[in-house]
Amino acid sequence: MTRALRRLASLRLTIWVLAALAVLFLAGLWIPQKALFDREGYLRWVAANPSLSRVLDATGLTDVYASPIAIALWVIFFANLLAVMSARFPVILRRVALSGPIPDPSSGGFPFVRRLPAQGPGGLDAARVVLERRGYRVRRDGERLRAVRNRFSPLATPAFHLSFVVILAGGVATSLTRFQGRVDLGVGERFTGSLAQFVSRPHVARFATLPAERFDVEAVAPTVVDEVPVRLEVALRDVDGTARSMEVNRPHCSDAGTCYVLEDADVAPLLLVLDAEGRELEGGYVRLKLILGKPAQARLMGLPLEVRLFPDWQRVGEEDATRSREMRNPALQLAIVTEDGRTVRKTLRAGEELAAGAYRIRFAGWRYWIQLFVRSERGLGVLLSGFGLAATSLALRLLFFSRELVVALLPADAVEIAGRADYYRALFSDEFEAVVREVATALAAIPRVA
Amino acid sequence: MAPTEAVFYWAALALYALASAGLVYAFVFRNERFIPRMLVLTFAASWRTPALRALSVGTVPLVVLLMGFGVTRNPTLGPLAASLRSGWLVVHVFFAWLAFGAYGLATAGGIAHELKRRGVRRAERNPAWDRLPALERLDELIFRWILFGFIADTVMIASGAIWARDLWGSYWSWDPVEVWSLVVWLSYGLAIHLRLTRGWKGAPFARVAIAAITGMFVTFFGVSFMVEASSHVFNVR
Repeated sequence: MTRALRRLASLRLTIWVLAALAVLFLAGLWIPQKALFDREGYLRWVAANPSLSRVLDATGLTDVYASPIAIALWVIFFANLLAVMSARFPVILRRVALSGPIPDPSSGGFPFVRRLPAQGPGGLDAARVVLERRGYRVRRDGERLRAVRNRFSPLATPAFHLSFVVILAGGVATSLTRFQGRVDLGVGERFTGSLAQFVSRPHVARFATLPAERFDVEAVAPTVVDEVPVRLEVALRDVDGTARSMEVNRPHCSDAGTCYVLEDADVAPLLLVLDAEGRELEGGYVRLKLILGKPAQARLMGLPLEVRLFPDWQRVGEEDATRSREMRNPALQLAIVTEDGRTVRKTLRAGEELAAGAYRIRFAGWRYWIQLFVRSERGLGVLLSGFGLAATSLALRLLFFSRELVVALLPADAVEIAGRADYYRALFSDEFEAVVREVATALAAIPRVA
Repeated sequence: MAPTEAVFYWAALALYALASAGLVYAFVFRNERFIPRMLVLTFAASWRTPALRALSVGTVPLVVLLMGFGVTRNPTLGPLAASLRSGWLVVHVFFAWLAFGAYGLATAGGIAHELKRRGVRRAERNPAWDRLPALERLDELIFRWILFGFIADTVMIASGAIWARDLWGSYWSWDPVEVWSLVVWLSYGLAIHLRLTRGWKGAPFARVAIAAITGMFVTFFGVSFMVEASSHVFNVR
């Protein structure tokens, strides 16, 4: 049992676990990950590599960060951490205690030792004054002084390791309480909180809080400067009439803890399908990814349609072009395959129509639509506190390192000073020499006893 | 020549800042050019310590490489995208510079340590090695730089997580740059552990300091070349 615990607490195990995690993360860069690729792209890769994807899927390597291997490695890592700390904590407690016998300066264990002449018994008091002035906590026991600076610094070691557990607790809490999903809303549409409104099935963890807010999207106002979208403001109105707003980098968060993050905005053209007599057969706002100028695919009356947007349309020779990415003079280039297999193409401005066999397609108008990332989770504060604890503990332990000096009054009218420090022997040597100089000056100033 | 170049550089950066959204944002636009300057400034600040002056020898190759990379980038001035307009950008990027700068200095210290250690063993002793700090002191400096970098790295990751939560909805999304930042953080954490619990000092620790910088290069340069699906875009325009 003791041997098993010793192995669990070994640094060798830490190194192996961290190396294995690094290899796993490296694999995640090459192997397509379900969570990082769009569904269609992932399915295309699966179709192209059926046997390989089956093997990788079965071993969890297409979702490496949540794979059984990764979880097992994290479990070993934290078990290793706890085992190390349980073994070291009592030792650290003994170290920070100022009580206990003061060691002999010349007993070894002190890399720096100096002997100074002293006049009578006042030498220790003079040394004490110097050490206290330099920020040392001093205790006297008989003819010896023990002085420690940054005495509690060693406690930062378990605090640092505790921070990993706090980070883990925060991570577990956020994942157990997480609700997240995406919803697309056009201007004028209402978010009802219904799960059916989400683009795909949202992630609802065991203890998740479902969104309870109801609001309408009132307006979307993008600002583009030199073709760069520098601002995107969205005005919302709660069902009780309260006005809200959100921007990129400024989500709308409710009192219940659900946040609505603005992920994207684009243009939804209003396309109507009319028959020869002008009766409306089908139509509506079609939410498409158009604003970046790439063609998007849609279907109307079962016919495949390719749509391309020119936000600030102009004709350059025979070609359609756009002056900017701002919706100043929008035009749609439509290409539709008719029932007889012909492709009909035309560029339409608002109100214009395209004749496609038995139908007419009218570009009747447009509005913005937004994509919201809806999330709620608890425990992020705990997670960030863990990082804060880690950084603070490291600074306390290793930048404000503890130093220890022992001063002993020797029988032959002399004092002996010995010193040691954690981690920084060379840097401490400067401080030790300075202390010795100051103590020597203080000793020399003691009046000689007649 | 170096001070003249520095005057022109900082003046250009100030003009750039005036013409764009602000000083910090101007720095972000010139990430790859600013980091080497920060390394140079660090040494300028410690110029009164003669032992540290000689260490600049170790950073010069890194500075030249980064500046060479910087001049290949597009210098066009443009407005800052909405996604980058966040106070967290300032915190995140500032601590990234501190972390990467400190790791860079640790690497330089490691190189200097290795060169001096080999140099002093030769029969014909080169007096130039005396201008570098003593090996023991150099070793402690490397450790302190790694430590400072690690603390700054921790703040960088945490502030990035807070920013990501507002921008992407999730504080951690296993983006390749996030993953490699974690790998770098764990690597330097391991280096600190090796020092504290295994007593790695001198040559082995200097080699660790040199090797560990690889992860930083993969994060900052490698991922951009290897992966297209990263949400982190270092070449901001």
